[in-house]
Amino acid sequence: MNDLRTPVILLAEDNENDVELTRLGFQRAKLPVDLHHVGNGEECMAFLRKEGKYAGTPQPDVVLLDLNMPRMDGLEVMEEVGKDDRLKHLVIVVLTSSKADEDVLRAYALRCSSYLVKPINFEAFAAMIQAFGAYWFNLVTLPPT
Amino acid sequence: MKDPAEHELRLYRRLCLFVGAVYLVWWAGVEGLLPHAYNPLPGRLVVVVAIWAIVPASHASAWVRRHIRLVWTCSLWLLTAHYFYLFYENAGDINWVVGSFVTVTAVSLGMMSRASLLAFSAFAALLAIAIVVELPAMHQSVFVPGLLTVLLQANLGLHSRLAVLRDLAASNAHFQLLFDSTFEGVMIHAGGQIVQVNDALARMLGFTRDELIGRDAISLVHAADRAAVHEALLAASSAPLELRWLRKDGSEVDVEVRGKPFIQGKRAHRLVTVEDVSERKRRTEELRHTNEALARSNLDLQRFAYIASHDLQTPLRSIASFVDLLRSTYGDALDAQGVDWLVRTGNSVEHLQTLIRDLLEYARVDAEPRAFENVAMRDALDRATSLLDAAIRDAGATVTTGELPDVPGDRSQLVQLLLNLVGNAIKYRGDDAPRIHLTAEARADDWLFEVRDNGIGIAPKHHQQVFEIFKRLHDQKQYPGTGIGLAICRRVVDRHGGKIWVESRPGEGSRFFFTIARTQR
Repeated sequence: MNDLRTPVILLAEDNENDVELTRLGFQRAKLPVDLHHVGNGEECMAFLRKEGKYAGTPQPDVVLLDLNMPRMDGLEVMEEVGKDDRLKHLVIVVLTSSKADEDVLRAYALRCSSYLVKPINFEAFAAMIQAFGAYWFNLVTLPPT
Repeated sequence: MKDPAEHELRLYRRLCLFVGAVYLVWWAGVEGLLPHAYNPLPGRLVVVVAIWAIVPASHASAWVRRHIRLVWTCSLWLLTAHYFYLFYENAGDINWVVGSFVTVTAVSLGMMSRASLLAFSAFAALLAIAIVVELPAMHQSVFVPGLLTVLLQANLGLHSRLAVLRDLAASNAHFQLLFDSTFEGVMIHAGGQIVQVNDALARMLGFTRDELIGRDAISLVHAADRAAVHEALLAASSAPLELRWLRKDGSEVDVEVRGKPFIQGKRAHRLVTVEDVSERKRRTEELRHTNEALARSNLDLQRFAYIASHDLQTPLRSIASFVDLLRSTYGDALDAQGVDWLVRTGNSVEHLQTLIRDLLEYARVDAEPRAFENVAMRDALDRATSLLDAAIRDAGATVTTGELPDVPGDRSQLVQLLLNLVGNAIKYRGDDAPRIHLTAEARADDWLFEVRDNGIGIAPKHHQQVFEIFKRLHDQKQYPGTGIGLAICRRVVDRHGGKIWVESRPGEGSRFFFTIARTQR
């Protein structure tokens, strides 16, 4: 790890099971992370802008963003973030169940940092989280927070 | 006896007036040319007035109208008898001989049937013979032979005249039959005024023919469509015109109208055909509605299948993951039975996932249409075999090809097609290592591809079934699968304007054929 600080991750995901699985995935991978969770795009924007109940929350190092969410979906969040000078440097990793070419293309067009498809079982999921952690927290230089 | 038609009555009235007038003028002629002849006016007037009287009588009396031909014939007999009386009184003067020839000739022309002319001929001949017998001066003359010649000529003339009339009547009847038996409405108008219509048109509009004849043709057209008619007439266009016409009861009828001008008797006429297209219009409209509804429900179904399979994946992934977790975290706490159950649960979920993934793939063939591009089948096969790499290596399979063309199509769907066909060839292999050979043959409108293998083969009675969705020939233990693979193949080939079929026997390998159209619509 680049420094000794625990990485802060914001998980924007509406499915409680997937939230739990992601939490367990980090546990299995033995990656200590400060995992925060929001259930839709609007909450995600509020968190990033530290509005309302999110005043005083830390700036995340990586946003794990689901595409399919109620009220405001992942693509809209990326659009919004891209327009905001204080946020557009954020690392956004899409984590979704959609393999559709169209979604992949649109996500990259909105400058997501990478695009991950949720694997169909936990073993594969844990392996993916392991690789995710190794890349983003050991290899990559993240923007300063 | 049939009542004579109005136009026939008119003809007889005119003849009566004309013949009466000529006979009166004749009196003046005789007075001028033969001043000493016996030529009394009162007797002549009686005959003329009697002939003229037929005109008012035919208006007043139904009996006269019904027997107009008889009355007319009698009037001519009367005239002839009167003439021969004058002839007799003038003692066979040579001028009167000539006059009698003229009279008999003229009267013969007025005889309309063979019977009446024969009767008149006998009457005139008898009168002539009587005169010759009564007047000694005529004994040596050729008066009677002359008169008989005149009568013979009149009879022969009538004979040929009647033949012509008969032919004309027959051809008229034919025309009328043709005119009336067509299902299309036909009408002839002169400068807008209807002169002839057929039964079909009268029926279509709920009028009788007599009500239509003489009417202004444009009055039959819906007020809103009259401008279009005038426009077409001005443009001298002969293109069919779709119009609304009005029935007698005021209701509208959709028609297709064509017009053609012609000249008759120096007047511009127009032949117009009128076809009732309301049924056709209604059917077209109905078909359009059904098509729209079908397209809508098809789209809904595709979206439904796509979304349903997509959304079904999410909870399944959770189940699979938690079963995984349960086994890895608490597996030690369970006995063999408990672990077996967990494994079974995991396997079932996996199968369900494959099923849904395949279903999604099936729905996608039509749900996400992409524009066709030029696809090298060689590349598509390479892509498919690279996805099957593990299976090919495990089975020790060899995939060979002949010359492969470029085809217009959807690249990922064609990859899917080859993936399924080659994948099946590997999955349903026999005892030998699978050998798969892909060839293509150019035909007139399409390419014919063949995927040949040395696998277990398919009994002919299943050759249709295998392409139906969820149809499987084996159980999960023998050959795991969803029964969607070949259904996807058929859908892909359908979308590429082709057909897919199989030729095979158990134990002799299979030959899957499919075609791809050379040009796409």
